[in-house]
Amino acid sequence: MSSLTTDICSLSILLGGIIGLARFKEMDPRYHPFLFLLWIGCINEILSFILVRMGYYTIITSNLYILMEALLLTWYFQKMHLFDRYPLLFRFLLLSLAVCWAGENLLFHPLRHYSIYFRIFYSTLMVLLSIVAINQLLLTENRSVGRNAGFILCGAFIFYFLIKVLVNAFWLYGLASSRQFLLQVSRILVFVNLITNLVYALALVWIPKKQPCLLPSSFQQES
Amino acid sequence: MDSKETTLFTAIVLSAGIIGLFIAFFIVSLIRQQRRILALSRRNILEEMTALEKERTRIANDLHDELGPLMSVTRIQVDHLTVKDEEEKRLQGQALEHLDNLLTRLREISNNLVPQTLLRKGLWYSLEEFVQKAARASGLEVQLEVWARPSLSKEMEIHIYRVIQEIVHNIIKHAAATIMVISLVEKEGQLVLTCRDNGKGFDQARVLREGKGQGLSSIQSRMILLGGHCLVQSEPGRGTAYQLTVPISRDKTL
Repeated sequence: MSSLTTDICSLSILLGGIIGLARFKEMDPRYHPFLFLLWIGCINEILSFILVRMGYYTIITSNLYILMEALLLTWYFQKMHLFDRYPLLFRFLLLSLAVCWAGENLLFHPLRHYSIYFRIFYSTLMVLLSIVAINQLLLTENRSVGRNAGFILCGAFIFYFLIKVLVNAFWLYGLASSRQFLLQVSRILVFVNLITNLVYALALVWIPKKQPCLLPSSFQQES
Repeated sequence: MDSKETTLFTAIVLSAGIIGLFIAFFIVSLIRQQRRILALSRRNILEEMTALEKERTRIANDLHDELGPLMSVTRIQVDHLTVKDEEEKRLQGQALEHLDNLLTRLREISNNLVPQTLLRKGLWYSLEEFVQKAARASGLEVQLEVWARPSLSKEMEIHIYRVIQEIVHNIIKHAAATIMVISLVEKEGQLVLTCRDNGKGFDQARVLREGKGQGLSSIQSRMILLGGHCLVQSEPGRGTAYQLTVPISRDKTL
């Protein structure tokens, strides 16, 4: 795979970022954490693109990005009412994600090392949360979920994070392998990334508009 | 890469591809299954609502055709009784008054069950009549703003009428409001109904946790049938607002 193909696949996130920017004001605010994630993703990819051209490694920015991704997606699931019954679970998950990331990247090994355990941990968590969110949607949605942005996003999360778990698990097994092997494995994720980014862009088009405020505040003076 | 690494890499690519295919199949099957369940649930609701309307019509007819005439005859007979003194005249007067009240209530109940105005003169006229009666009975100031009067099928008219009836009853029973505004607008091929009151409101999160009331469930069922969308917003002390959006083009499929 040429460097140009890798760059195009990685920068495909910009498509979603631009659609999100255009629709931000009219969008249902429940999807804002996801949109913030997309924008941070855009910044990360552009930064990585520049760093690679300048001859630097991108592991530190990548390690910081996955922490943001894990926290923002957990917040997104909270906005989707996944933790309504267990509000403490939301805080617990945020805390455990932060602790795991800090444990691996600050205590276990330095930040400039690829944090593989945290990647496996948070990807598994995202797959589980997406499954719960899909189940909830199937029970509560009165219309077909085929064009439901939340459903499409959860499908994309399951696809992306499940393959990420798999690739990282194999990577963990092949840590002692050659640099060429590790590079080839990382390129699988680049393709998966491209598919996911295109699905994200599609979901962004179908995100519903924010609900109008209907409450009759003007009555308060009259009554 | 050596041969071991090449084998491992092939295994990773194959596993990722197979997982991707399974996920795609799973997602598509979920969408198809949910569509089937939605269609089934819509059919069940339709049958339930049709049975409910039939039962209401039967009871209304029984009240109107059997009890009504019998009570009218009784009233005439009581009116023609020969009274001997003032005490009997007073009793006769009271009996006539009770019979008149009973006849009025009977007509009201019968009309609530199956609004005759809705059947004879259509949704818009019957809504005005219903709202006026509700305002008189409850002392609530009701403003009805109808900006669009699209032609709808009888079934759709009944569902919309029942939904408004349910909302108005909810507001009168629970909201402790003094003003209610109902507006009907046609927007982009959809009928948008908004009902707002200045009552005490409720904690939406708590109501969702504890489960919807019968009234809200009935509104939601009818909205599913109409292929519409129901949005309820409320906050303690800030009143309640309902927004119902019904696609008018779907009307033909009902």
